[in-house]
Amino acid sequence: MTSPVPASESTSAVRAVDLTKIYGEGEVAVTALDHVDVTFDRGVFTAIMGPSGSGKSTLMHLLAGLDSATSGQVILGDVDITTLTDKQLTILRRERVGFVFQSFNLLPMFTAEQNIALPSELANSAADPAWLDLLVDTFGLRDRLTHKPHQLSGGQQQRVAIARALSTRPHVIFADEPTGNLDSRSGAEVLSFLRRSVRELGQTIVMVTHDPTAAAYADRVVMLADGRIAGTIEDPTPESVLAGLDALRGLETQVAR
Amino acid sequence: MLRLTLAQMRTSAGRLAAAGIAIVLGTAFVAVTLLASATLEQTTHNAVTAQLADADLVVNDSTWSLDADELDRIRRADGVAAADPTSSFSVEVDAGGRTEWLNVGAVAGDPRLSPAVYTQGSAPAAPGEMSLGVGIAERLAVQPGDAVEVTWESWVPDAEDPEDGVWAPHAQTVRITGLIEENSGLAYGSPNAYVPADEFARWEGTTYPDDAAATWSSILIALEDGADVEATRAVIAAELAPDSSAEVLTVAEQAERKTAEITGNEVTFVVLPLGFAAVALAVAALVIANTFQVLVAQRTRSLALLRCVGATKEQVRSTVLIEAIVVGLASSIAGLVLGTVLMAVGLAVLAGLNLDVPLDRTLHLNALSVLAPIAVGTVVTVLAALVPARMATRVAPLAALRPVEGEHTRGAGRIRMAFALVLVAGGVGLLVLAVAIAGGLGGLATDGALLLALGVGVLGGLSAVLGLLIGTVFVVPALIRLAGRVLSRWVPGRIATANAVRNPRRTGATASALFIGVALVTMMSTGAAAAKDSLGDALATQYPVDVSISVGGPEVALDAAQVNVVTETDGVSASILGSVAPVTLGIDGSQEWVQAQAVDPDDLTAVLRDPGVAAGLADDTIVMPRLYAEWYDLADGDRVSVTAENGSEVELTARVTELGGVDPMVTPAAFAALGLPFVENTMAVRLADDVDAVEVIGEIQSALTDLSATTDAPTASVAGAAVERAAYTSVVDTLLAVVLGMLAVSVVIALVGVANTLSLSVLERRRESALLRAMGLTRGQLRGMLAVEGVLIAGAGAALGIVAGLGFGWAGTAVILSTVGEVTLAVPWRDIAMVALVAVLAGLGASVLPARTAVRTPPVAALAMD
Ligand SMILES: Nc1ncnc2c1ncn2[C@@H]1O[C@H](COP(=O)(O)OP(=O)(O)OP(=O)(O)O)[C@@H](O)[C@H]1O
Ligand SMILES: [Mg+2]
Repeated sequence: MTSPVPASESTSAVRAVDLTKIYGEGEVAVTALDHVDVTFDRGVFTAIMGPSGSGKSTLMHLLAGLDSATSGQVILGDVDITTLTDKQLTILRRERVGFVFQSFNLLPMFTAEQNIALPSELANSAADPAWLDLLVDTFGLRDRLTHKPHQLSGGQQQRVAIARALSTRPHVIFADEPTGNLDSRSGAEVLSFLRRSVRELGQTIVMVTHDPTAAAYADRVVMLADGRIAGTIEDPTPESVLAGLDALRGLETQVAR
Repeated sequence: MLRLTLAQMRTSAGRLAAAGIAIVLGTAFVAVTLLASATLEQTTHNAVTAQLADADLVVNDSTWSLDADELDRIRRADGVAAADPTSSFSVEVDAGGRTEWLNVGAVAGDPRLSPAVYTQGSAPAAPGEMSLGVGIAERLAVQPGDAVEVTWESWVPDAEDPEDGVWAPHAQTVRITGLIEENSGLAYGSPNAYVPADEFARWEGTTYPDDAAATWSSILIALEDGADVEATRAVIAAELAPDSSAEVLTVAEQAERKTAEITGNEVTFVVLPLGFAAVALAVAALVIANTFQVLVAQRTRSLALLRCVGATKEQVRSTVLIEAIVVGLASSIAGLVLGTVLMAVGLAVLAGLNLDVPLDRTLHLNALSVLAPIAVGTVVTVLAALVPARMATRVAPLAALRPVEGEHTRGAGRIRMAFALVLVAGGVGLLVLAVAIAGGLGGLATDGALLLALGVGVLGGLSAVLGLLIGTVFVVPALIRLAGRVLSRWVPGRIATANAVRNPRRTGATASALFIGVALVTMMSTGAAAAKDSLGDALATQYPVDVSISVGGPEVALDAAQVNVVTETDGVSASILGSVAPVTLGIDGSQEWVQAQAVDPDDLTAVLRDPGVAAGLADDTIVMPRLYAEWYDLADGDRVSVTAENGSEVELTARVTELGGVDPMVTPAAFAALGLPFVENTMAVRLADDVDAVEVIGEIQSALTDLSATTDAPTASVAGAAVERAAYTSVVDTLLAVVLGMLAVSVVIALVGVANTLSLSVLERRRESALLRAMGLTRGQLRGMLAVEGVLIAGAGAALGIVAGLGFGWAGTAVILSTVGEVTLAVPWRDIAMVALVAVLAGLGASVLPARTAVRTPPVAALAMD
């Protein structure tokens, strides 16, 4: 269960090679990621799970080029993004990466439509209108397009955020607890949209979550504990995920003793 | 509550610092204003009172009838330490063949009454001693210790026929004891040589026929230490002859009169400093209020949390107010220190530049200039925090739990809009009315009517400004949206536009601070351009001839060599020769003895600054200066009989003009008709426009003095009205420059306000910026976005200010100059372009620091909850 997935150029969307992240220095240094090797395949919906503080968000930020690694590499497509300058990283992000965060995903002064179009505009490339139409319809946003974020419900806001993340057809989409602020029904709605975009639109999605039910929407679950990969679960169900988590917790309790 | 407040202040120290900067600058501005207006006043005072030395009181009598008895009584009056009449007369000095005319005065009885500044040697103490100007000594090639011969003439009437007499020569050899600084600027015409008072009285006495005694037009008085100025003034007034037309003025009053003569109004000194202070405060208050409002807005969550755990509204209010007092007091003190240091540095720098105006270099620190800025800074801060404090009490406890930050802007109300429109429309209406009132006066304005027009105009201006200030909420965002259209194809530009109009109130308030500053600068430069023009005209009329060179006596002519060296001096652009002879004017039976000057009307226009003063000069006319016309009760078109000394007589038509400082003028043909020979004994010279008058006149004098060593031509005297004209112009220019400079400071404060608003917005939008960065906004684009936002806000404020300023400037000019005549409404393009450029650059500049903070935060760190 702990063996790393073999890396393959053709199927890997993003992978971490011997990735280490240490916050702070000296006494207060925290090793958030400890020599992590992991691969996320194309067209696959992967969930990252693990106890609080296990390094999930850190891993995702490094994979997305939002933060710099202490050592090791992140290969996005066939580019080692740990060698890029800030400007190259930024351009890579806007062309090849999409994001959905737990909250505060949208710019409050723009309408839903403007928010969705923003990434392509930033890249100075007109978004494919047919694609945008498809997204809007897929996410049921047609009659919400002229609303500003504060006029939308939490679930609607997250749907807009997902549509926006998809608008540039990025290489991979990262989502950090996208349903963390939602009730279970809107959560389920958002998750099924995410899964549809993988199934129907061929997207690659990496999602961090605490919720076993949410993780069950994914094709695969990667478990993190103490900054290390603690295992993976293929074709997860809520039950198998819970079992995996319990196993981890047992592990931690042992470590704690 | 205090402990809580202080703890809260510590956590938001960075944001408070932003508010603090506004207060520090505002207070510094108030401090600089107070210090600078004191310096300005003192400097102008020094310039216009240079001839008054350190006198305390001045007795003025325009009828020139202060006599020795009155002088004696004044000298013996209680509280008077010394009193000296101001008097001088011309003597010719000969140093081994080099000759020149001097204006000699008496050594003052008290050093406080002596305007002379010795550069070498000492004041003459005994008969036969004299001091003179260092430049004169150089031209005459003499030094202290050398002897020179002084000669002058006095008119001795014939014992039998009082109408007849002879010029009696006087001569005396004197030893030079010391050299004094040359007079400059407005003191140009004062004495440039001194002899002891007794000696002066003896010399002067010879110039009075028989037993007539000297009389004076003014007496300078120095008081004893501790003497009360007002009491002494009353005592002196009582000592004057009962029918005396003289008045006793303090030096400050005299300075005010003089300045009023120059600037054309008497309230300059009262109004200017007050106006500056008010402007400074208004701008600073706007910036401070704005900053505090943002501060409260940012703390909405923590304030709401406070309410949740049981804090009352009053407690919440008091945290904000306590904070305002602490920040206000600390920042005001810092501002005072900063202002004082700035002023000291500024003075040191100005002292280094060689200004024409004698700059007062002392720092006028007193209780007012120390306490006022601190009090004002603190009070304004607290007042400015009142509205935000009320806003804070309105924060609902629930706000702490509200997850998504909505658009917190309410649309500004219709009532507000209507109010703004009414105020602006009413203001513009009043301005038009003011112009109409002044225009309707058609040059016949009485002071009262002009004052009415001014009052209406000021009211209109205030109303319009108030309306615009209230209306900035609508106007500024509208302007920004309009400008934003241009940028809509560029995403960072579009985001910037959207950000700039997100909070119309804040943007409006930020822009309005700039609006006020820019409007005032524009108004002043619009008004200044017009004022300078009309002032230039007035001075050209008053001093129509730059330099006149003449030799004494109607029979003696200027030597061809003398004419030659003058015309060949660099900086002389034109000159004509004229002839002066004494004539008698018969007006309504009375006989007036004057010097008449014959000049060719065609050549004359080339040398006159204002050709209008010689309008109507023809073979059958005599051009009379208005002053003479008033003395003789003469009207334009009156017939005047002119009689030469040889008895021949012609009748001429009087043409009364504004001619100043020049004798009545006729044509050479009129002289011929009178049988007067055209003796070329006077020369009028015009200087080129771009030369230093003092320098050129000095060179003319040097050339003539050098020439005197090699010829025995009569000594020519040089009178340079251009120097005085230049001095007046430079006082006015300095005043205007200082005013503009002070107003420019308010623009700078306003720009700090823009920077503050931007950096607070950046703090507020930390997560937004991070989101944008995560989505692919490059650092450069983020910087560009903030720069555009800064430029948009600053630009909108500046544009509004320029339009309003132009309007006010034109209205003001139209009102004030309506009495002068044709008013041309000029657009000071250069100044406006500069203001606009400064606003845009400053908008850019204001974004630099906030942008640095914004790009430095990594996208991840910013996404963390705070
Ligand atoms: N900016 C930071 N500075 C210092 N330490 C940090 C920083 N960010 C994270 N850490 C530490 O790194 C470790 C991993 O943090 P991370 O945010 O990746 O955890 P997580 O798995 O996302 O937790 P959660 O489920 O609570 O979101 C934690 O121990 C955390 O304290
Ligand atoms: Mg996390």
